Order: sequence, then C-alpha cells, then structure tokens
Amino acid sequence: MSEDMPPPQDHDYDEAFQKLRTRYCAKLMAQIAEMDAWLVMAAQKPPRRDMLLAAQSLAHALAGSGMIYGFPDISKYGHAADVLITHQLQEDNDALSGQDDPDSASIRAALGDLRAACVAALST
Amino acid sequence: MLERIMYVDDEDDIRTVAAMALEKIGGFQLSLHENGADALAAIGDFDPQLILLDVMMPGLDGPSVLRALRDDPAFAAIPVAFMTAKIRAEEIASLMAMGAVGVIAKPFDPMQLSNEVRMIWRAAEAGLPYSPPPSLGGDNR
Repeated sequence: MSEDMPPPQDHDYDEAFQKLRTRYCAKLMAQIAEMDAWLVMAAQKPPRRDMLLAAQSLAHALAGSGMIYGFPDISKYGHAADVLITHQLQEDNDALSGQDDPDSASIRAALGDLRAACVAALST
Repeated sequence: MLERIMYVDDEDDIRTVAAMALEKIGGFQLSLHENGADALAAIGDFDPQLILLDVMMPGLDGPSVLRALRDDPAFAAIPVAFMTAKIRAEEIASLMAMGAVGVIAKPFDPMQLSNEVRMIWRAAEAGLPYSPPPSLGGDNR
C-alpha cells in the first residue's frame, strides 16, 4: 500500500479499535484508583518529589492517549496536570532540591479535574 | 516507497493503537519497541526506512536514541521523526535542530496517522522539514 488513502471503512479496523478502547477503559478504572490514592496522600501532607513524578507520569500518559481513544477531555486535563506538575518539579529543582513544599493545592485540583474526566469517559 | 517503519514508544496504549493504524490503514511493516535500547538493538535486522520516536521515555529517551543513531555511520542517514505532546514552536525547533525530519503531535488521529507519516517521508525525501499543523492537536502555545 503506498499513496495517501482515504480512511478505510474497515470492519476489522473498527472491531480491533473497539477492543483496544475497551481495554483502555478497563485500564482507566485502575488509573482512577491510582489518582484516588494519590489525592488522599497529597491531602494529608505535601507530595514528595517521587509522588510528583508518579503523578506526572500518569498525567502525561493520559494526555497523550485520551483523545486517541475518543476522550478529548482526558487529554485536555491530562495535559494541564502534566504542565503544572512539570513546572512544579522544575521549581523544586531550582529552589527546594526535592524538599517537600510544592503548591499541592493546585496540583490536587488539576488531578481532580483529570480524575473527573476519566470518570466521565467511563460513563459514556 | 515507504514500507518499513520502526516505532518506539513506552506507552502501551499509544503504541498499540498507533501500530494498528499504521498496519491496517497504512499497510506498513512495523518494528515496535517500548524503549530506545531495544530499538537500537533491533535496527540492524529490521533496516527501517523511517523511525518514529517518542520523546519522553524512561532510560534512553527519544533525543538520546537520535544522537546514538547519528553517531553511528551505519544508521546516521535514517530519517527520524518525533512524536510528542510538546509542540510549542521552540520545542519543535529544538527537536528539529537535533536532526529530526519531522514532528507528529500527540494525541494523534489514528485515522490520519499514516497519511501524516507519508507527508513526513515525502518532506524528508525532498529535504524539507515537517511539523504538525495546529489543527492536529497537542500543545500549540
């Protein structure tokens, strides 16, 4: 197959994509649980650097994948959280050398938005 | 004609759907890898005509893989495009300055990915850079 092609009306493709989408949604449930655990811990004390890195990894993954699977809000809020956490990590590098005192309220809010987008996706 | 593509991305959800799109829609032969080290180890056997690299990966990230390729005379000429959500103008310029032939925005449209890859391939053949149109998503700030 070579030159530009119109999007296929391909039953095999649709079926395969739906299987991937189902798998993605199943994984979303685990990721929501991961965010819940993160939010509980972050509410008790400011997140450590390793917690921020874990949250950034999750937000980055969801930002890159959500829209691909038909969930643009997951990409939107995932991207917002990724940018916010990345900025916080850079500030930590400059000023805190990994100590605990990030602006956790805004990060918690961003992850809360991302969690809500994931929950909404599962309800569609 | 572009037939063999190596695609490297640590995100399984993204790698899987990209692979399906490139194979089923584009008809390409793929070599899929979840990290840069595995990709570098497999490149000689697969002989890719184009390499698509995620930027942020644990271990060897995309830019490190590109540098390793450019330092090896056997693979230095293989065109490499990055796939990334970080597509601000300065971020694209930085990736192109490393020697990439193009940048594909994440999240991508699976239905359009193959055509976009072909556009990159054609641009590379013509010696032209390729970067994502704003309408294709990503961080356009």
